Amino acid sequence: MIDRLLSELTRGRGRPTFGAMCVFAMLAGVTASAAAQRPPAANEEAPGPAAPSATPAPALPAPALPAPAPPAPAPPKPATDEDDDDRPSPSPRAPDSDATPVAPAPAVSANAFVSTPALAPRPAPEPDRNQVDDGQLGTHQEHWRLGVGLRETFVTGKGYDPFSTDNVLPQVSLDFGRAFYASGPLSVAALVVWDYGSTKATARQADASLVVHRITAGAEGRYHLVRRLYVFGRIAPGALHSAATLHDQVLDIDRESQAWVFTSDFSLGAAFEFAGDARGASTRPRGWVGADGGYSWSASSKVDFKDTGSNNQRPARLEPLRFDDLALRGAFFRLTATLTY
Amino acid sequence: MMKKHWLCACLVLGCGGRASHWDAPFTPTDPVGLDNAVAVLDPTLDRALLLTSPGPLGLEEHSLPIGQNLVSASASPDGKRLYVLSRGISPRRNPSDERPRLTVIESDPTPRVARTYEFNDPLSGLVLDPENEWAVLYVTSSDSRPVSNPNEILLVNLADLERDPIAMTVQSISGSPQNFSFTSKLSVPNGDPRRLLAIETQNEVTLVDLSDSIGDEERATRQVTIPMPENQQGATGAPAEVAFHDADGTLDSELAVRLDNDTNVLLLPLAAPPAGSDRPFYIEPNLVDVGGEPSTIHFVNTDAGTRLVALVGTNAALVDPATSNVLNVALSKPFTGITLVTSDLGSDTSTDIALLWSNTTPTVGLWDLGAATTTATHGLDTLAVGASIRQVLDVPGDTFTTSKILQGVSGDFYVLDLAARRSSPMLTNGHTFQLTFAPDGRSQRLWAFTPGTEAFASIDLADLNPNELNTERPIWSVFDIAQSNGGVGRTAIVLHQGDSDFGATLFDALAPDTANTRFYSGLAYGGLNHD
Repeated sequence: MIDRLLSELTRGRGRPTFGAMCVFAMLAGVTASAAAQRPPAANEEAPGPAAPSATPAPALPAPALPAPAPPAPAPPKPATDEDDDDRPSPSPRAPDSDATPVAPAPAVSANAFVSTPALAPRPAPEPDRNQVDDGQLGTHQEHWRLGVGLRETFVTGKGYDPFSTDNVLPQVSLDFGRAFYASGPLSVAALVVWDYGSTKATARQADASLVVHRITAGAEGRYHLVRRLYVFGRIAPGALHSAATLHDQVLDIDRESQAWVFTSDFSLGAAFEFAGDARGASTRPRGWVGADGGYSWSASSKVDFKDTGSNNQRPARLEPLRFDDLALRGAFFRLTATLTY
Repeated sequence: MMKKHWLCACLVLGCGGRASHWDAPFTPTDPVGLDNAVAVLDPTLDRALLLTSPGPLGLEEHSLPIGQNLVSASASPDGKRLYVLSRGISPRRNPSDERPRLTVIESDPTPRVARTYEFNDPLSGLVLDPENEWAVLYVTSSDSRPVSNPNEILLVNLADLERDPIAMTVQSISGSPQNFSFTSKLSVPNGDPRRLLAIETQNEVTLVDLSDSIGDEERATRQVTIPMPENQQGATGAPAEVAFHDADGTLDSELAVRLDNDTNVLLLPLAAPPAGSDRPFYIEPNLVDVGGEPSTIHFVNTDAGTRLVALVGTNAALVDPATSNVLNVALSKPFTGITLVTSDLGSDTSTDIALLWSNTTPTVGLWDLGAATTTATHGLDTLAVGASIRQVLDVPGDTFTTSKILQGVSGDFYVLDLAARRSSPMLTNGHTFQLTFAPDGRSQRLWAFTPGTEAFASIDLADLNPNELNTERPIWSVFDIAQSNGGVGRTAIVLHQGDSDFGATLFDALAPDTANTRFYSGLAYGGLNHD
């Protein structure tokens, strides 16, 4: 079933849609385990070399003689050792296996030759070439990526205290990018990351909240330990926007303070491919989980609460309310699920 | 072991809480006005927030520590200091638990803690000397301890903050301190002039010598206790008021005690001690019947010499301390209060001029005591005002010395010009306004406000024109302070209270204008951010 779906994705439409990939991701675990436990049904078409059918296909004209079998190329070297899948190829630029498609010759039984001389062998279904490991890094290494993750930054600056009862700034991360250069196990990726998070608390019984957007453009250097596992270091400078709100208990209005500041993340991490073809030249999506951690530096911003501008209940000539400068810097870690293609 | 360290580091980073003050509510007590600052106490954080004005409509906050468990806070009479009494942690379980404390804060040139006194026992009573030399800490009924000495007091020498407090027990047979009066410097027969502290207990008056020439131990042991006589009902008298005068050449210095429910007043002349005694004076009590229960007593200089005046109904009883003779002067109105205004009027005579007022009659009287015993009118001029008078306020400063503010029992108030013998009513439509001045009187303005409303008034004492003002939030209190940093301007600070916060509207106190203000909010956060 998975194979059918993948075949649909890759052949029928050229490129898999994101929805189809999600369906794939959901079904993969279920069907894979089911297939492993369930014996194939009698009428289920088995993958691999096709056996001649005992029943002539009525839609096909019967030739006088059996069609000669196409020249059988040398079969690809079977993957004799599963460990090969986890070892990066010494030559990622090796000839693509697509140049030597697998087409096993149909087996012809003598008995069938005699009894049904008029039947032609059924054409062999096109094999799923992505199932064949080529030992290459390929799209394990060079790919587009789209990730979503959870990030926690540990902010110890005093300016953060009014907005949180602890030092944690939780954020959701979205990233998009491409690994665009590879050389051996080394590769380089560029990506754009958006971290969004908010926190709220009470400051002397007044509601206080903080919304933080962090938009960074990162450069990531990777080293593949094996094809499905790489470690990386990332530098991601960018901009951070903070929007602090305090409910003024004297005026009974909300007062806001917003700022843009420079920020940069420095992190180390690792990513593991948990779903995807072994074949490096596979064009099908891959699923990764990763984790990285490091230090996030941000410039300090002044927190001058001003009135909201549109509130006509504010008094005339209201002076800003100054809190400690907000420095959203500190150690962080992030867990990410990434889809590559 | 290494794993544990990493785990601890992660917990510290991730679960590190914030400073506890962000979770503390703001529960203020009444703000206190100083000469160039307003003190707002923040007892949940054991601190005082002093608001100063460094320039026109500018505001600065200074957070200063005070003791734990605030009891009371008072400004010194000259507005230069703030005294904050705290109970500390009681009972103390650990050596680090804070003891009861008196914190002295000075506001000039910048607010700071000038001295902190620590005591062993929690005392919740604080009395300040009008001359800024002494403070008395004493036990009140709120000091609930299993065993306490109700006569325990601490004398704090405010003139020398380096000196330690003087602990003593008030000599009393059956009572405990109820009221304290500081005399001015009085001449005594045997020794240098000195000030006395008169302590009223339930049935006695005890005198404590405040002279610098005696040691603290001698001060504690040389107390003089005078028991009160029985009144006409056969009960032991209770002191209600203490008056005093200095020696005048013919009379010794003398104290007088008004008694509750008694037609007698007790004269206490500071006579010469017996030969051979090293005591500075000797008390010879003398009981004088003034013909009725006096509402108040006061020593005055009349055309006949020094007299004790006791206001009794529509009469004033003039008591000759030397002979105890009583001269009754008919006043035509039942005056209940007397204030000497001799120096205010610039009189250079040796006799006094007194302002008489009443809480039962809408009349005030200006009494020239130089004619008290010789003329038919006894020197009394009366002036009708619109209401009975609850209180008479002096105008601070030297500019309007002849002006007095009369607070009526109905809520109205009057500006009385003693020189012109004129009263200017300020009608308030029945509202009870609170009145406040600049402590140094330099703004020459009177501020009238009602807490909880948004309207208030500034009255220029030069022309007595009220300037109606408004704020954009309800008023908590109003203060008129000098600008700090040597500024010559003045700032009116109108405080507003929020649920757990407070703010302020600032006016130019010399030219208040609703169109020229600044509003500051979030003042309860002062000092939490930038320490």
